[in-house]
Amino acid sequence: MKREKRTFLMKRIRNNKILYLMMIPILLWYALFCYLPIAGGLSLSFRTYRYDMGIWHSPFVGLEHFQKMLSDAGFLRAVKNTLILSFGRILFQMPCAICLAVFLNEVRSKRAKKVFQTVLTFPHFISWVVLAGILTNLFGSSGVINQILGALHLPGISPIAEASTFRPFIWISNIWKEVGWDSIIYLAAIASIDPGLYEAAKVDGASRLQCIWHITLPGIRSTIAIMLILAVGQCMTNGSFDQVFNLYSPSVYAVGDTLDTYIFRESFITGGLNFGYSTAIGLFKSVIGVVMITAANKIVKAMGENGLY
Amino acid sequence: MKTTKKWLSAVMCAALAAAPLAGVHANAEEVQEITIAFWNADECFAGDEVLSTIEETLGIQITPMNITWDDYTQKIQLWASSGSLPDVFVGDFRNSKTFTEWAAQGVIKAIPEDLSAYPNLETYMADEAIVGSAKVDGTVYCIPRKSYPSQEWTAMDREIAYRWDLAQEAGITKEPATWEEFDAMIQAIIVADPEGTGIQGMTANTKGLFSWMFLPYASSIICDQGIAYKWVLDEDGLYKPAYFTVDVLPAFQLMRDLYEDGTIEKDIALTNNQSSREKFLQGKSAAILFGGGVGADNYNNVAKYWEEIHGSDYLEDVKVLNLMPDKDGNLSYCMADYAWSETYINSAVEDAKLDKILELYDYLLSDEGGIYATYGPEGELYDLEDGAVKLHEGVDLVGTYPSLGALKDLVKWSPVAYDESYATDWPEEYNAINRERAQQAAEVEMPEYYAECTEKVKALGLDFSINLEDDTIAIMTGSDSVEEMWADLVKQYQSKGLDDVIAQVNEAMAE
Repeated sequence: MKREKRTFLMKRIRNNKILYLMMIPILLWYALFCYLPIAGGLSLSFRTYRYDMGIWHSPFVGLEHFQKMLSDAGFLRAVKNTLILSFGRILFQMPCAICLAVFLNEVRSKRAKKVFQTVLTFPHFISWVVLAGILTNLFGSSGVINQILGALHLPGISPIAEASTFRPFIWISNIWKEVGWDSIIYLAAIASIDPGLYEAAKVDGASRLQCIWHITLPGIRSTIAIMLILAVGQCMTNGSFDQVFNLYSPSVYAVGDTLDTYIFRESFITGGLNFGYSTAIGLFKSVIGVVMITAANKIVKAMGENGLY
Repeated sequence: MKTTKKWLSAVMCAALAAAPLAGVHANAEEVQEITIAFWNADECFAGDEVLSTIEETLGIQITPMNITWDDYTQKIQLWASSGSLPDVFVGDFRNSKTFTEWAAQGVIKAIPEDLSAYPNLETYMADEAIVGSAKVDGTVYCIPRKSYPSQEWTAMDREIAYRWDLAQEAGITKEPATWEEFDAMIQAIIVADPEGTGIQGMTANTKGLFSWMFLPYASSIICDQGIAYKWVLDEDGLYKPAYFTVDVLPAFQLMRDLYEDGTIEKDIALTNNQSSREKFLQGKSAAILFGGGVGADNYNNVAKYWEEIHGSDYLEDVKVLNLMPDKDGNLSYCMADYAWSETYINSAVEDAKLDKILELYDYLLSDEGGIYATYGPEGELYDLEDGAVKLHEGVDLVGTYPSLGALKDLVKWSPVAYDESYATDWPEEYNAINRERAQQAAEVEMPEYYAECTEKVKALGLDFSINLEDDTIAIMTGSDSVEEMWADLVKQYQSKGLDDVIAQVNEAMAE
């Protein structure tokens, strides 16, 4: 049986050898730039990097970096912040995108729909580097918002620099930037719902709200499940290093320092080559990410939805 | 015969064609190409008369590798880890563990012990106050970029300029001599807001300046971070970093009070060079904390635009804060290193190239080279009168010769602020402020500390760094009590190996 399969595969390769040859550069690219670095990263997290020995020959230190992690208060704080910021995103951003998709679907005028969609999707294409500058100028002590508040004799605010407001600011600014883009996939899912269902519901006297509740939302349930699994899988990377890195400062490290920003500082700012330690943190992040995505996939499947695999 | 002629002509043509190439090759052997990473090197080394004269004289060709003020640390670290460092590069790494690792792992070249072939460089490197921090286990691994000639001059490295005109309009009659008076003055300016700009508290060029300015309120020796922190003996006879031994809480409390009062602006953690200067220029900040000297930084970036905006002379409207007393009432300032950054030479540089690099540095340190690399050819932008430089009216030095922007600061930071034989492109009154500050600082008595302990940290390659800048901003702007935050911070440092580093240094000192 096995031999038959192998012969069949070889026959296919022979018949399509040009196509298979064309695959080689892509496979090489993946091997060199995706899989080899993984191997290097795995190896480096158990080593202390030395300039003169490189990744593969630096001294092996076993689990030293992982032991250090458990006693490193900065790392533990970063884990906590990463999870809070990520789950906050899932909790607030996903419903916003779903609501927006449903809202856009209900807009009757095609022109208005397109205008809304374009306007709301546009911020997605602005880099966080630029947006952070704009937000800092807007919300800074001399920014437009504080000037208006000052003119109204109201106390000034500093949401980016204050620990109590930093996390909500991150969530809200990310919703503002990404909600339009995120809603596209739900809009596509809504578009695939059989229009006959809506017509039948209308004949039966269902209101628009009832149509949304009983047709639209159940119709995109599997898409929501897939998006949820993907979002949970991204929890440890927090979705966006760029956003936090460009907006945070030492005054909000306590609530805003995430694993990614912590790794960056450990690698380049703290001084000394902590590549081994920061790679170990990266490995920890990936392992937790895999565990979370697997768990989320199982939960979703147990609830009767289609999982990722 | 015909065939012979044909061959002969072919050989002659080939010889003629090869001749220029042979010439190029011969020249290439004489000229050493040196890659240099310096801030804005692309612009500076784009090519001008000064650069080409120096290159021709020394038989070198400088190839720039650009770094910027924002990215130089990360860029150089990446080059180092990927083995693509330039021949010569600059930065402020010698107070971090990166430096000891580079030295121990063969990334950078040791500076030769015998510098007799380069007399100016030899004299420069003979100054232990400059070279002390450039050593790892007794070997010198970099050429420190001397910024100040002696300790008291370092007091001008962090200064505060404040709106004296507005303070007077707000009813203040006496210049502040304590932090409490400074606080009261800024509060009065904010409340009175004489120009109606919605003026706020003090801004700063960078958030990193606060630790230098305010930690000396606790002790003048708490201002070095990375692995260069100073050590003292505690009551039990144990060597400990001064940061964890001296009572630093009053300094943090002072900063917290100033921040909560609004004397320091609320979003100070987000400040940057450009926005802070603009706010001060536009009358939106009552004071500005800046680094680099009242002439080089404050004049060039703020004061020279003042009259255009305010219609009055900068020094009539603005005063520079005198040295402030510490928690015990004694004047204090940050006891900083004389050299803020340094030059490194890639370990891959061969002897012939190393010789040319040292020759270049030697030339730039000579009297002639120092003047030429700062002002260009004599008679064009300046004249020499009794050995002192007299600039022509309205000259733009770096605008005329961009290479001056790098060459004047390549070996040591240009001494224009303190060396009177150099002319500055800012008015003399600004130098007088610097001199006055240095005179005040000369009276300050520095606490005792143990430099040997810092050397031990480097020699042992210990992995424990202090980050004063982040700690200062976190506690100053925090909402929990200063005591709680400090206790939490100490715990974090303990989790990173504070106790271990103390034990190892004491053990090494006992030996």
